[in-house]
Formats: sequence, structure tokens, C-alpha cells
Amino acid sequence: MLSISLSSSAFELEKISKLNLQVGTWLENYQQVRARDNDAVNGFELRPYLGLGAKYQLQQKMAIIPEAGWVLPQNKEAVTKNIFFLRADFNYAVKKWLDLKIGSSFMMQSYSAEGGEDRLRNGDETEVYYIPPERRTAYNQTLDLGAEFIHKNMGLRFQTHIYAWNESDERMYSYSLSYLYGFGPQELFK
Amino acid sequence: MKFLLICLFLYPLSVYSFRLNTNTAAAFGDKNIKIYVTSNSTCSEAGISKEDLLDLAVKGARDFWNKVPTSNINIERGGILQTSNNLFLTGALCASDSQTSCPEATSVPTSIDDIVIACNNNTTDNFKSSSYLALSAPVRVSNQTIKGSIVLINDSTNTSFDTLSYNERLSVLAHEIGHAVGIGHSNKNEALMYYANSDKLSKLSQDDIDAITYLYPNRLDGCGGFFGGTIGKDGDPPIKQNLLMSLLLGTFLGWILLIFTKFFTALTRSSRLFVLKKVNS
Repeated sequence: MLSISLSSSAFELEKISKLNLQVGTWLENYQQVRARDNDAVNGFELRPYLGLGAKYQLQQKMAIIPEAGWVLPQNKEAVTKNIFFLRADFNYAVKKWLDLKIGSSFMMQSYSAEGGEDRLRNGDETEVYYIPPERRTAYNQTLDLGAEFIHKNMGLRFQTHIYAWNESDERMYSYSLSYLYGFGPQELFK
Repeated sequence: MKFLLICLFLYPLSVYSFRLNTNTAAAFGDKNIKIYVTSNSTCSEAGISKEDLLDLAVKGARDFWNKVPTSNINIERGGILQTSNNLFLTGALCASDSQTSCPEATSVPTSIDDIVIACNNNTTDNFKSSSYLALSAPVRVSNQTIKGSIVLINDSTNTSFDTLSYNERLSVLAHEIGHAVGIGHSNKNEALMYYANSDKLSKLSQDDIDAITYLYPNRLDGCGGFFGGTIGKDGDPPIKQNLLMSLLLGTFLGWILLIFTKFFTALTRSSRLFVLKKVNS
């Protein structure tokens, strides 16, 4: 029988084997959106994100890795888009140099702008359209699958984030490719 | 690591340029929106039957707007709207923000719900040239809520709608439905909401996805009880969320909170020990 304990007595600080800092690129809806007027889809682009996480060891080969991250904003034309995420992966160490992960992310996609007008083409004329006047946020849950290649205290991680994983019509995939720097929690207290 | 950090500050910023139809960012209050075609639309000049027009509009909505996972919009078939009001066919389209200058006797009726499509032949106010294939606007708006929108297909003798391929018609209908739900034009030529029509359009652009996500953002219910739910705007009922996923999320967030609590406690304890050692020495 599966039981989940969240009581603080079940939690042991010593089981946090590693903390990590991440720097990577976020490939939103990679190859699934129209990027040119000839219907070509989007390719690789550098869209940095930062993250931090902690590896909580359950057994020798199994761990849970809660993480938080932020995809850097893009804001050239009045609308700023931010993506924040909280996630936790179940991590299985297949080899000393290879971890496999499965988990879920809570994605917060936030758009902010301060309103205003913009004149754009409409047929042979131009017409006024409006810049969004306020911040709005979309919340999504993704299913995440990933692999991490480890060398000493560094790691290279590839992860996929599946939106609408249980609805085939809407399903979309984002990817993240990141470099991780890991260090022991005791280093914090030195 | 240093190299990567330097790269962070050199990356090219992408452009987000979606615009809206109203200055209040109005959107339909109910995410389930229906499409109707008026029963008196013959669409003879446009070269399409009203049933085919309805099929095409529903397909446009399903193939494009309904597929965005970060948005909760759901546009579906309403049916044929029984009406004998000829103003749908001949009246001027009056957007919600200009109705004071629109005489009721010569304008397309605005007392409608959801999205209503009609074939219209008014070349004085609506279709001044053959380049106009269709027009659309929210016509019944209250504060930030769209109650009804009109889509007019150019059914005048100068229309070129009848010369369009199936895919072009599909993208025209999907574009106009985008307007009907509150999205304005985009200045990105790959976007469905770009002003010009395209026959090679099988997917939305990121700009279109961002626009529909902004107006109809997806929201989760409960978050495992951790946040107490994220209730929709204007008291929309929250979306039912998969129970297992919510439980997992709540557990994960619980772990995060516990870890940071423990760290904070440990940090406080170690700093206290440090102070005590100093005092003792």
C-alpha cells in the first residue's frame, strides 16, 4: 500500500544530498507554432531561464527534486511575458553519470502591459487596436520527463514539459536544456 | 558557468506584439462560446451555403483557437439562428465602442449572444473594396465582458471570397473568430491575426497563442488545496483538474515548503551557535 507522509518528523535534513543552480534555455512549443508566413515552424532559439533545486534522497538511487525557476522576460513591444514554475521530479539514478526524471510542473505564465493604442494595417487602411491594459496570468500543470548527465558537480539536463498531457487535441511540448551546478547543503553553512 | 551567465545578457529578446479589439481587454464571460449562422444568409455571391459556412467556422475555431493548452476557450457549434431581420444582410457593422454614431435602423442588430455570422452585402459602410473578405467585431460589450460578436462575410457583387481556396476560407473564418473573441491584429506576418490572408496556414503563431492565453487564461482548481484554488475572473467557475495531478502538486509544494523551513531553522540554529561560541570565547 502506498502511503505518503508529509509530517515534519519524516523529513530529515541530512537526506538533502545536493542543491543545484540551473542556467538553460527554454524552448517554448518547439516546432509546433508557425514562425514564418510560408508556414515554417519555430526552431531553436535562446531563451534563458534560471532555476534552483534541492535533491532529497529517498533511497540510494531514488530522490525527489523540488525546483523553482524563472524564464527571463521578453518585452519588446509593450507586452512583457514571464514564465515562473514550481516543480518536483522523481529522480532515479540509472548510472553514476545518468539520472532519469519524471514529475510535474506548476507553470505560471504571466503577461503584463500598461495599455495604450497602436495603429495597425487593416485591409487598405489602418485601424486602432489596443495594448493589453493589465496583468493576467495563466496557470497550467505539465507532465515532465527528463534525463540528466552528470560529471562531478556539474550536470547537463534535457527535459520535456507536456501541456495538456491528457488531451491529445491540445497537447503541446516545451523543452528545456540546462546546465546545472550542484553543491552539498553543508557548503551553505561553512 | 561564467560563459553561460554572460550569454544570458546577450540573448535576443523576442517580440510580443499581440493587440486587442477593446481597450478594456474585453472577453466573453463564459469560456464556452457558440457559433451561429443566420438563417436568412444566402451567401450566393460568396459562393458558400450557410451550412458549409457554419462547418467552416466551427472547424476554424476547433483547429486553431480550441487547441491552445494554456487557454481555456472552447468554441463550439451553435447552429442556424432563425431570423428574418434583413439588417444582418444589409446593415452597417458597428463595433461596441462606436455605437453612439450608429443608427439602429441601418446597423446590424446588436442584441445577440455568442458569435453570429451573416453574409452581408453593404458596400457603403462595410465592404468598400473587394479586398475586404470579411469583417468582425464585438457588438455587445459590458465592462470587460463580451456578450455578443458579429462576423460578416462579404456577399456583395464585388466579393472575392468566392475565389478563395478551402484553406484560405478556413483561415479567414478563424481570423474573424479571433476578432470576435476580442483579439486585434498582430504586426507579425506569420500570425493568424496578421491583416493579410494566407493559404498556407496550419498552425497558430506564438503571438496568436499569447493573445488567446491573455484573454482566456487557463486556471487550475485547488492546486492540491495548497493555494486554496485559483478562481477565474469575474467569479468564473474553476476548471476541474485531475485529482491525482492536484495531489502530486500539493505534495510537491509541501516538500518545497518543508525543505525551506528546515533550511531556515538550521540556518538560525547555526548562527545562534556561532554567537554562543563567540560569547563563550
